[in-house]
Amino acid sequence: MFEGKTLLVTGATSGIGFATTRRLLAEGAKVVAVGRNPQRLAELVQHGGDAVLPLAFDLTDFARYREVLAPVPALDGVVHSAGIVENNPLRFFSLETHQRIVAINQTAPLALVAELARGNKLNAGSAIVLLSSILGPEVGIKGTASYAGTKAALTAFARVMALELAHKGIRVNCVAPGMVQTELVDDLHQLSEEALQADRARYPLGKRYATALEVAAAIRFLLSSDAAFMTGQTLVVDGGFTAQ
Amino acid sequence: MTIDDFIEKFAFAIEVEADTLTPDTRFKELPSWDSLNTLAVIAMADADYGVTVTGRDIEASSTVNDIWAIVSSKSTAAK
Repeated sequence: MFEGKTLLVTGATSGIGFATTRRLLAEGAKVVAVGRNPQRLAELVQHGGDAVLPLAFDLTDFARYREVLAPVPALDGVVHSAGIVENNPLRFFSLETHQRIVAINQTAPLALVAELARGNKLNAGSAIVLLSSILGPEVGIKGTASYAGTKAALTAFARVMALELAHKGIRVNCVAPGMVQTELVDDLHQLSEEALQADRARYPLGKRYATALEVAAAIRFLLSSDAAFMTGQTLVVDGGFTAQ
Repeated sequence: MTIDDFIEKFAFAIEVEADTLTPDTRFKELPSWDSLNTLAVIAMADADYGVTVTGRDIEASSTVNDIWAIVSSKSTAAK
């Protein structure tokens, strides 16, 4: 499906970004893999060979965007999967924590797409997918205002970017998973296996969290020509959680 | 730092009056205890003591003193 296509993936070395990168490589794409950890990027190159173009770069280093993105080839797709999850309860609100979450989850995808658009790096007919969440646009969880706000912002970005880029045939959509079984799950709750099991039981489909591959499959769909008439939308992948 | 100071901070975190808590209070049996309290205790330990307490630590603890033991053993400020 993606032979001859070049796509950029942020957060490419872990979780959903990694699963997406592998899926795209398996379908013949070249992937500009953005990550902070040069060692993990090197492992990705070992896996994908010449099809992986590693870009070791901290996405919160906004002053470097122009310089870093200048050598990137013209793209047929962009996936923003980089992000962090931290609690920030009102009674212990930390502006520093808030700004750290906003920088990578919210400002980075906007600055990235803006720089790619400004630099004419987005081919006509390309597709952008931002990794949102049901937490924010659909539901709330106590203590997560900073994180949830960033994920709701992405659904707004998708709508506005979709309108701004439609004249070039560029589509912009979000994927909104519920909890996904990645290393971030552990960071967020730091819960015991029993507590995690109770939380997983809230998901009607299989009483489990999504796998990264299941979310990657939805991202892959929105990137593909199968979604040729979808833009500005948010695709929920939550095992029925928000159907309740 | 004493356990009395800690109880004050613990009470602030979980939004109860400090004089309703003792070191032996089984905090998860308080009627107002909920998931946000877990996050607030984690945030309090970080903000006031520079200590990482995990959700697992709280699950494994019963009394206020159990949490204090974790915080005081990890914190230089608490000694």
